[in-house]
Parts: sequence; structure tokens; C-alpha cells
Amino acid sequence: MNKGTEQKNIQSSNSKVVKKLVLIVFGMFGFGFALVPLYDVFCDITGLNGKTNGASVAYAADGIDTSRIITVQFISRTAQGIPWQFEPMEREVKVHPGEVKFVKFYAKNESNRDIIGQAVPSVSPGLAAAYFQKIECFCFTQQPLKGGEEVEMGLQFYVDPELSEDISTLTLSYTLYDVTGKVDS
Amino acid sequence: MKRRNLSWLALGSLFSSSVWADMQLNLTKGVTEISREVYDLHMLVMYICTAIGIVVFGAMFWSMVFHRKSKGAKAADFHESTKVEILWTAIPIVILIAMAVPATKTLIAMENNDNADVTIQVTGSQWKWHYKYFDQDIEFYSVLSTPRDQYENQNGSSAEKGENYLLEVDNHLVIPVNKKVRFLITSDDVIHAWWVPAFAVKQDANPGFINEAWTNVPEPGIYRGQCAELCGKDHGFMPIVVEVKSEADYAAWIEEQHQMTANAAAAEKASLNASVSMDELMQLGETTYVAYCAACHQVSGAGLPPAFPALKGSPVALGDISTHINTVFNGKAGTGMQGYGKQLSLKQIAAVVTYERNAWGNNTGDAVQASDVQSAVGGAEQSMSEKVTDEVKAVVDDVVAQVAPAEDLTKEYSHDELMKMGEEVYMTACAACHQASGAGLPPAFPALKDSAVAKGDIAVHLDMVINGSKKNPAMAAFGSQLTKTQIAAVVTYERNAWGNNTGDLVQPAAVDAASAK
Amino acid sequence: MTTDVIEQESHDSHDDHHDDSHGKMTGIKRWLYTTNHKDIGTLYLWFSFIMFLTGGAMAMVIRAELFQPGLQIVEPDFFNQLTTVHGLIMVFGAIMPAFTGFANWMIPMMIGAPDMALPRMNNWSFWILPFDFAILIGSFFMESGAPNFGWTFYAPLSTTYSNGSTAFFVFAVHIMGISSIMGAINIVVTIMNLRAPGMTYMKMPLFVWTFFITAYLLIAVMPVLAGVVTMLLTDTYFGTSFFDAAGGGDPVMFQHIFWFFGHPEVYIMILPAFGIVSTIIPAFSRKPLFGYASMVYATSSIALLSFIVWAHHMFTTGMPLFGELFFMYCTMLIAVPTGVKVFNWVATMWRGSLSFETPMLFSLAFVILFTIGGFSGLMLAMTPVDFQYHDTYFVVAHFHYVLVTGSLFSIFAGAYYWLPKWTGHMYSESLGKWHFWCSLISVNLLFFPMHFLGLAGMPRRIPDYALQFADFNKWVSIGGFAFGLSQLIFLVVVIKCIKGGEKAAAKPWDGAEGLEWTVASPAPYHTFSTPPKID
Repeated sequence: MNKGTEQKNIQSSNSKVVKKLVLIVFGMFGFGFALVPLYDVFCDITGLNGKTNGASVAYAADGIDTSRIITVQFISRTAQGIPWQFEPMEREVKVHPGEVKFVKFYAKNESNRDIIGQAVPSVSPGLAAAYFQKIECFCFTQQPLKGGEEVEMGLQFYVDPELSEDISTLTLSYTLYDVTGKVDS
Repeated sequence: MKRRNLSWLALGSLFSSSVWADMQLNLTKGVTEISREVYDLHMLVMYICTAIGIVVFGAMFWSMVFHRKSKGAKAADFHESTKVEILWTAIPIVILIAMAVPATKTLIAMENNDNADVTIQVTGSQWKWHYKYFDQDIEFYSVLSTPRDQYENQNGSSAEKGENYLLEVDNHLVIPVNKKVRFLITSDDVIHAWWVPAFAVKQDANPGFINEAWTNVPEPGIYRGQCAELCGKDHGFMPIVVEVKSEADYAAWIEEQHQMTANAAAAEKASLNASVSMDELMQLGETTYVAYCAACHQVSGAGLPPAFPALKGSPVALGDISTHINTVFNGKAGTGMQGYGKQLSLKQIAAVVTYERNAWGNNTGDAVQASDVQSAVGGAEQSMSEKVTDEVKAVVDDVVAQVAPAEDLTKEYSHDELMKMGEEVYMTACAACHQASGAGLPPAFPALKDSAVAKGDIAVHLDMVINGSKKNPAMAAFGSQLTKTQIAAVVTYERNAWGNNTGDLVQPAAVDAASAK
Repeated sequence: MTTDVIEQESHDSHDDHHDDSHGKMTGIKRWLYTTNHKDIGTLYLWFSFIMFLTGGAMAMVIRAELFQPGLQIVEPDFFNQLTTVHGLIMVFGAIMPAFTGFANWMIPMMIGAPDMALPRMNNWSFWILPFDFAILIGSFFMESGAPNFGWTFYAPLSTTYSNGSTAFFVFAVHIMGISSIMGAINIVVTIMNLRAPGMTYMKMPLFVWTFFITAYLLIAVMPVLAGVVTMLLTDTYFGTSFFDAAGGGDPVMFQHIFWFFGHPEVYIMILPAFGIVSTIIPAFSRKPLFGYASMVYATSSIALLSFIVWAHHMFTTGMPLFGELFFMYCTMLIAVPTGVKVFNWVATMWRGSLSFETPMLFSLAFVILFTIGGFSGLMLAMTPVDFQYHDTYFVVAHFHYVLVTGSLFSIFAGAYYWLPKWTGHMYSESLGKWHFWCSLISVNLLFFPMHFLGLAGMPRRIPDYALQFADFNKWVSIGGFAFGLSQLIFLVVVIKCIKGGEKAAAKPWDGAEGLEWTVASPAPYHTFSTPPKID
């Protein structure tokens, strides 16, 4: 046991611990990014923040629950810098859980340049978001409109009968953003 | 001696601005049931903390006084006691549970947003609030109304501060008394938070997402709050004022708002044909500029670069008029520059653009009229809400026109007539699900092209359209939504379009017979 | 005055025979190239004190602006820059480096190790800090101005709507993160591998335990901070949409990731304070620490719980009910181990033989005032009431009670306690008491009325306020100026103590325990080249 070997032993066990710790550091850095998809999963499960499905779902309810009526309200907003008129054509509809409804939104590009819009949905109360099922929605894709062009855009949805009995009003909000120039191909 | 008097005087002057009695020390009780519950919870926790504090600090001070070395205290040697450790782990847990139970109850009540009487959309933006009544065509911005010279003391102004300094706005949010009012809160840019202490309502306004909160105020009055999330430069200058009115007053207010909207629309139209003098434009422009633009671009037009560029000598203000108008009208995405098209009238925009192009030595000499604004921003002929109402009306008129003539069930239509009418009906009532191509969106929405129903027994087909599907709830019953003629036409269409070519003609009489079953 | 330290210490290091270490250099090079844990500890402590004064100066401007209603001195945008940089400097520049300084100085001496395990990395982790904060503070002089989005830098205020300082800010946070992580790795490796023979984990001083746990927390969450600022950077400049709803992102997710870092960060700033106070109270009570084992367990459970309470910072963001309930219950649970700690300190004093030198005074003030901060923390944990407290001055009062009268007071206590060991001289007890009493009175005048302001409804981070808040703000500002000036007394105490004074014995405090008191005062440049025996 001379001093030199002892020194070496300590150094090798030091580097072992350091390696482990550095691994944790990189792991946690990765975990920070993994939180992004994890958060989405979490939101899907809990309806946190009123996130709704981003792609079409098939109709999967077993039957219409005619004993209940759910009021679905529609709200639309345009983000700043997008000169579009964007409004729901019906302010609210009453549906039975399980019933498929089709509603339309009106959009018009009021400027004279071509703009690509993207509507981002949010449902309130957040807990209901997971039960608000969109079969077809204009928000699944981006909407290009030429200057002055107008369009009616459809949304087809149903409210899952599993929706908690405590909820009788749902609000669906769309915010329209200008994504011209950041379109993914 | 003299000096001491002087210092007392200085101390006294600290209280000069107001009286102690005005000062609120504790949390507000508020006016709603929820806010009172919240207050009670607050007091409960505070009493518990005070009690714990007295015991713990009491023991500490006891040691500090009686166990001091200078008094000859000898240190004991104990340093462990499992019994005591368990005791002071268990007792706090019990206390915590006692606190958690009422807190949970209140929280559940707070989160129940259902069954609201009035719904109001609250949108924050830098640095103002926008309110939109869901059931009414009422919407307006609510902006700080404290005059600048009251708070911009760094520029040497010393106007006396008013009673509701920084807590006053131009347009109050008005809500009815004793009604459940639901707020849908969101934001146009950064995160804000809508907070009225008297209601115990505080919710973040997140861009792109909506949050809910509700209140039910039993007493008419004016309640003030502020933005509670750092939202940039003027975070401290976007107060909230809620005016609670009796039911009658509320109804009158709604009426008045409708009247004002109509008047504004008329004034907007009139302004399109008016030609306003340069002087008047500059005057209106200046007041509008100070109210809406000066917070960022500064009264001097020098801006606060780089976030808020100078307008004095700027390429926008000196360059192309239509670009300038468009920037003011629509804003600039991804910057702090909002669109003012919805907030200001065309005349105001014309005036402010004129002002910006001629103030601070910009001297372009351009006079911009309301009609110039309109042509620069494209076809925005009508204001938003007017436009939509028209759209909806057109749709309704269309339907009425189709329904209005009494149905002649005995009439025999030709193939072409049925197919033409059928296509129209199909496109409005069926194509959403079954698609214009008849290919459907399987599995929820089966194809009609080559389908067993469309090519099979006519009676089954008719039954399906009239009464809906028993197996698939997505297939609604159209018996009450369409006229018999329309059903006849659409069934004919479905049986003959997309190469189905059955050659069947279904007449209204057949539909009548089928629905009678 | 630093040259005096050098002279002082070089006298004592002539008996240096350690073959591994290079001899001491002189002048600036000694400090630039040093790998000695004591030198680096000194550097950290001086750096943090300079940062403390810098951040404090910003606080003075903030309080001057808030002295009376109306915008008097600064523009609102500059006000936001001040609050932001004040927060960043105090958290990352003052409190955290000060604790790292304590760790560097004391851990090797307390566990009987010759130095930190990774001395060269140690040098690095310190020396990137001054450059880092030069960048951060330098951004004040750039066209964009300094970061103005709050030290919590919520997106999208810090991305799309930032004033252009985001890139510098992110760069600065990355560097301070790297520095903290390197420091933390060093502490863990040192404690795991360099303990003197016979010193088992449960024989380590509690001080060492708290730093051990803190270092693990740092290693776990600083990378998450690095991750979230990286997302911020790419969102701002490279077109990603992590936090932008238009591209499918979510600004609330920013807050979740940030507070996943942020809440453990809060404990990173308080656990070492627990360690320091747990060392000082027994020393001046002349009685061993009550419930050593339960202190270790309480510290560990606080650290573990800190990972599942983050969302109590965001009750108003619109969480589902069960989320709010979960985070409320977990947060309330933290009161239990924290309570155990406070009770243990009181029990340590109970039937002791107390004396009240400056370190003890600061520790006692710590226990009481930190507990007050804990009480307001408990109140904030109650979700329904938090809707009223959130983002008001009540929160400002809460975290300043925890961080100023908590962390900062423990740092003062520790500094007074070990100054004799560091410099070889006793500090001036009377000046120390002046410093204590001035600080104690002014700090309460500064922060206690903030509770009332918050309850009365004054939001935080505003440059101007309604008239009903005027009187209290005046008092708060006066307290602020007084507290700021009081800290100059500390500067005088330290300089005087370095320059000379009564010679300190190896163990100047009769009740003190621990290996650091077995070496001479001032501590020789190299200590425990041969490990001591622990039984």
C-alpha cells in the first residue's frame, strides 16, 4: 500500500463516479426534451389545457344518449397580424352525447396578399377536451387563401357519451394564426 | 433636542399622503360566496400558523432566556428521542389534513363552471383587455384611462393623481347582479392574468388556449383588479374594472350598447364619403396617437428601440402609404405591433396615419382619408359582425325560399329535375359525411357509391334517409329536416350518381308513403 | 486586501511537502491557475459577495422607483430589466456561488480530505462564472437592453415578444448551468471517495449531508434548465414551436418544464442553509444536534418531494381539478419534514447552554424568519387561496423571507462562524452585532409589509401602483435602503478581519465540533495530506 497506488485507486474510482454523474447529466438533459412528448401524452389523457385530438378519429361511441343535451359553443379569434375574417356560422349547437354534428366556420382573407392560416383549437373545460372528438376538422390542415378569397370550413364532431355528468356546456375556441412562410412541406 | 423634533417631523410626513385607516392590511373578504370562503380559509391557515408560531417561537425564546450560558446554564446531553420525533411528525400531518379538507371543498366549488347565465370572452393583449359578450353582438376594448401626465413623473409632469389612479378604464366590463357569469379567458400575444380580488377570480390568459372562471356577484357596484402576470413593459398599466348592474340596468346597458354599435357603423359608412381637412386629421390623429400608440412609440415619436421602433424619420412613416396603413390596420405578426383595425374606426386610423406622416418633422404632406384606409386594406367593406350576420341571414333566406312554396306531393318530376335538385340537397345535407364523390369516410361514414343501400331496395334506402340508421348513430334522420320533395330528389340522386345508374326515379309521393309507415 | 491573504497564508504553507501539488504562485496567476480548494472557495465567496452588492444595487433602484406612486426614475421597460437581472444575479450569482464557496472551503476539511476530488475542474467551474455574469450584466449596455421577461422567463414573452436579449440570456444560463453542474459533480465525487477512513455516511457532519443532497439535486435539474432554455433559443431564432400555439406548441408547457427545474432549485438554495444552521446552533448551545438521523431523512425527503410539487407555481394556468388537488396535497406534505427540522433545532437549543455570538444570532434569526417564510409558503400551497396570493407582493414577501432571511442569513452566520478559521483572526464582535441588528430590523421593515401589500392586492413586477399601496411602499423602500447600507458593515468586518485582529485559536468556539477545528487557524494551505483517523 504505497502512496502511489492509493492515489491511482482513488483516481480510478473518481473517474467511475464522474462517468456515472455525467451520464445522469446527459440523461436529465434528454429528459428535459422528453418532457415535450410526455406532456402531450399527459395532456391527451387528462385534457390538460383543453388540447383536443390533432388528427381525425373514427366514430366510436356506442349509441346516442338522448337523455342528455350538451351545449357546444364556438368561439373564434384571429391572432394578431392575420387580416382574416374568421367566424363560426353558428354560435352554439345543442347535441346529445354520441350524436354526430356538422358545423361550419367562415373565413375570408381580407387583404390582397395570399396567406396560409392555421386554426388551433382549445376546449374548455379542459376535462371535457378528451371527450370532444373531431371526425373531420379544418384545423387538421393548413388553410391557404388567396387575397380576397373566402371559404366555408367544416367541422364534424361528436361528444363522447362518457363525458362526465357534471359538464353540460363545452366551449370550443379556435385561434387562427398566420403561418405563411413557416409551412411544413 | 431640535434635531430630534425634526426627525419626528420627517417621520410624520411619511404618513402625509393618506390616512392609516384607509390602508387595507388583510386579504379582502370580497363580495361573492366563493371569495368569502377563500377569506375564511385564509384566516384559518393564518390562525393555525400563528398558533404553531407561538408554540415554537415560545420554546425558542424560553431557551434563549432561561438556558443562557451567561446565566450559568449547563447543557444537557440528550440528542435523540424517537417518541418525540414521531409526535412532531404526526401532529403536523393531522393539522394539514384539517386544512386540506375545507380547501378541497372550496376548490371544487370554484372549478364548477357549468350552468352559466352569461358568458363573456375575455382576451388580454399588450396592454389592454377585450371583452366580448357571447350571446350579444357586443364587444369592446377596455384601456387604462388614467391620463399620462398623472404617472409620467419622470418627464417632469406633476398632475395630481386621481382617486382611482391606475385602476380606471375607459370601458367597464358590465355584468348583471345575481347571475352566474362565466369568463372564457385567453390572450392575443403573451400570457396575462385576469384578476378581480373581490371575486377571488384569477386566471391566466394563455395565447391559443382558453381558460374558464366564473363568478356570481350579489351586490351591484364597481370592482377593480389588475393584470397579474408579467406581460411586458406596461404590465402595471392594464387594470380591470367590472361594473355589476341590477338586472334592469343591465338590460338597459345592453340596449344602449346595441344602439352605439349601430351608430358607430353608420358613422363609419359616413366617414367613407367625407373628406376631412388636414387640421382636423392632425388633431384627431394626435389624440388617437397619444391614447393608443404613445405607450410604445412614445409621444416624441422616438420609440423605444429595438422593440418599439421610432416613427420619427422611419421608413414606414415616410414610405409607401398603403404599407403604413396596413401595418396600423393589421399589425405585424411576431412583434409587439398589434392590428388596430378592430379597435379604431377607419377615420381614426386615417387620422393617426396622417399624424404619423406629418408630425415630428416627418412632413410628408400626405392627408389620408377613411376611404384611403379602406382601399388600402382590401375589401373590408363591412365591419366584421355585420358581415357575419349577413352571411347567416343569406343562409337562412335560402332555406326559407326553398321551404316556402307549399309542397305538391303529387307532382311528378323528370329525371333531370330530380337529379339537379338532388345534387343540391346532397351537397348541403350529405356531402359533409358521405363526401361529394360519394366515397364516404369509412368506417364511420360508408361510401354510397356502389353501396348496398343505394343500389338495393328503394324502401330500405328511403327508410334510412327518413328515419336514420339504427346501427350507426352518425346517420341522422332527415325526415324532419328535409322536405319530401328534397328527400325524393336526394335519393334519386344517390341511386343514379357516381355510376350507380340504377335508373330509379323516386317521386315525392313515394316518400310520403314511406314516411307514413 | 487580497494580497494580505496571500501573505498571511504563504507564511503558513512553508511546511508544504505534498508532492502532487504545484507550489503556490504569486499575484494574479495564483488565483487564475489555482486548484486549491481553499483558494477557489475564497474566490467563490468574494465573487458571490460582489454579485450580491451588484444585485442589491439593482434592488435599490427598484425600491427607489417604488418609493412613491408615479414613474419617477426609470422607464417601465428598464424596470423590468432590473427586476429580471436582480433575480438572476441573486439566485445564480450570489446565493448559489456562496454555497459552492462554503462547500469548497469546508467539505474537504470536514471529511478529512486533502482537497476536492477534481481540482482542475474546480478551477474551471469557478472561472467561467465571472465571464458569464459579465455577459449577463453587459447586456444592459447593448441596444436590445438586458433580459426584461422576469427571472422565470415565461414564453412567449421571452421568445416571440422578447426585446432581443434572449440569445445572450440563454448563453449566460447555459454557462452558469455548466458551472453549477461541474461544481456539483465535484462535491459528490469528493464526498463519495475522499472521506477519511472511518467516516461513514451517517458519521458525516450534517453540513456535508445537505451539500451532498443539494449536489444531487443540481445534477438532476440543471440539465433540465439547460434543456428548456435551449428550446427557448430554438423557438426564438430557429423556427421551432415548442411553446408557440400556432405551431402546435403550448406556452404552459414552458412553465411545467421550467418549474420542474425551478422547484428543486428553490431547495438547492435552502438545503445548504439548513446544513450551516445545523452546524452553528449545536456549537453555541453546547449540545449535540438533536435528531441527527431524522435531519438526514428529512433533508432527503424534502429533496425527493421537491420533484413532485412544481405545479404549485402555476395553479392559475388552468389545470384540471385533480391536478390542482394533487399538487396542493404534495406541497402541504413538504411542511412535515420542514417542520421536523425546525423542531429539531428548537430541541437542540432546549436546555442547552446558550451564548449569542454573531453566528448564533444570525442562525436564530434564520430559524424564526425562515419559519415565517415557511408559514406563508403553507398558505400559498392552499390552491383556493393561492388564486388570491398568486403573483402579488405576498409571494414576493414569501420568497424573500426564505431566500434573504433564510439562505442569506445562513450565509452570514456561516461566514462569521468560519471567518476565524479562514483568516486566522477573530472578527470584530461588536461590528458583527451591529451588522446583525441593523440587518434584522431593516430586513423586516423591508419584507414584512410586503405581506400586507400583497394581501391588499398589489401585483408583483409593476413599476407603479395605485394610491392605497403608497404608505407601505414607502416603508418597504426605507427598509430596503437601510438593509442595503447595513451590508456595507459586513464588508468592513471582513476586510478588518483579513487585515488583522485578535489571533484566532485553532478552535475559537468552545462548543464547536468537527475536523475543521483540529487544524490551525488560519487553515494551512494544505490540510489533511494524511487522512485523520475517525472512530
